[in-house]
Amino acid sequence: MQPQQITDLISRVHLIQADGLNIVFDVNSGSLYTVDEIAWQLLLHYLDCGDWEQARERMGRLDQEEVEEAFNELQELISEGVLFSSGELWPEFVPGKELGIKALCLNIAHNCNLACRYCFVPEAIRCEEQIMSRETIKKALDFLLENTPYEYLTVDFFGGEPLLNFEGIKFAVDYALKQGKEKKWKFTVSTNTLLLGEEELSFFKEHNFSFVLSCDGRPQVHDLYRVTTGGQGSSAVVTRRIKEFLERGAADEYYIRGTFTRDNLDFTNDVLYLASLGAKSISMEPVVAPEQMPYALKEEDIPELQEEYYRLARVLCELNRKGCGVDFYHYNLDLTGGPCAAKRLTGCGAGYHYLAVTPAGDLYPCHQLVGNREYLLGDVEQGITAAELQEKFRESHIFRKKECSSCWARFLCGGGCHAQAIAQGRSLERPAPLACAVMQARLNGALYYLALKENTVETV
Amino acid sequence: MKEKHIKTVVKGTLRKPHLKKGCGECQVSCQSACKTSCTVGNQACSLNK
Repeated sequence: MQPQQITDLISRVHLIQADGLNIVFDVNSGSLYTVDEIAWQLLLHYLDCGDWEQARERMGRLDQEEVEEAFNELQELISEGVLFSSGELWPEFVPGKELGIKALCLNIAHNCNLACRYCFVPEAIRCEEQIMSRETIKKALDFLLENTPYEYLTVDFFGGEPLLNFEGIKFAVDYALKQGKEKKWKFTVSTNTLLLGEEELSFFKEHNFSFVLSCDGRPQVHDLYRVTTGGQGSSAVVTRRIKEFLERGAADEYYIRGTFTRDNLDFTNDVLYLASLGAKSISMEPVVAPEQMPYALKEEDIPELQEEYYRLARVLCELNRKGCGVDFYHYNLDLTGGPCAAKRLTGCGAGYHYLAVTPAGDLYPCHQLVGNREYLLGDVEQGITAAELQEKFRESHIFRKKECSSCWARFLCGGGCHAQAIAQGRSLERPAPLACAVMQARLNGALYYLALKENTVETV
Repeated sequence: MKEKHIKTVVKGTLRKPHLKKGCGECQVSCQSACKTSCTVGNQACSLNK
């Protein structure tokens, strides 16, 4: 048996064993199974030798009838094209070419009213204390409207803390709706909640904003990093703001979003805390940090992180069972629908489908690359001036990345975050190994959650 | 065939994507951990809505 064939087989299925469940994920079709011990052993042998006859022979001591049944069931799925399925047409498809600009991240204010200790924004930018002028807002939105081929457009208000330029947000929304009457606009805002008062909430409700509200969970966890410029924890006021937001039903679409560091790898407790405030939509994200920072996740944390993602899955299932389920963003995998092939291969579209605009009007591939002049794409006056760089982003899809093209998570992940790869010394073609490990741990958790839900007997 | 040894949780359809060339109308999915929109696997197709 050629080793290459084994490699090919391994790239087509992914096996997970967690808490007594044997889970099989067929990468190219997106099918998910749980199997018993006999089918599991057969699969392991097959993946080891690449030959079904040999795999069956290796099952020698087990009940032959049972082995035959399991073998036949596996073959049935293979013949249906939902196990060890090939994805032969996808690598030939070069996505991205037909995709144009559709979303802007407006860094409407670069200053911030918190001084979070893990903030990824470079100190130089944070100290600029710039807010975006009306003139720049107009030019940015004109740029979008002149260059987009799409009907649905997205504007995300980001910072710094975007509510420090609430007047700018109001102006931008008004301008977008007037200048792009024929478009369907989606507005989102990522905020630390401190300035989220009556006037702001009414305006956002009126314009059907989606929210990302930052809160790290338990007060002692939140206050460790999310502090004021004077070093005071912000948990008390943020908790109050979030409760007000939830009680008021301020938005149809929101996520209470926390950051976890290696200080709270038990972040399931933070998800539970946020749920106890009444949050129904929760997300918990790994900190974005240079590897030398003490709070940055490390390779040695991955086993503990994996166990935590499994624990989170069990806890979420338990909440579902009790009738008080919450929606954890990353466990919402849709394996039967979801995005098209182009989307799965291109991921975020940073640099050509999505751009970030600084208060000064500079265009960057995304908000995380803001300030990194090597990745400056242009500005709102002249548009894209670094066409070659933009082309590199277009071509950075998963089949151009060696590690991605054979990774089991490729169609769920989309190739990972370019900015994170760059920050960790890799490139557009080489994802960062630690980021991949974190993503895989989370996707294992998501698949386990789906399998667990299916295998949990409903008692309510 | 009755599944005795294997339980199908999801019969996926990724292999037959209904649209190979993206229409581009779906929500942009930032993959950075600093925004909550990571991973494409949990995105909805705007044509399916």
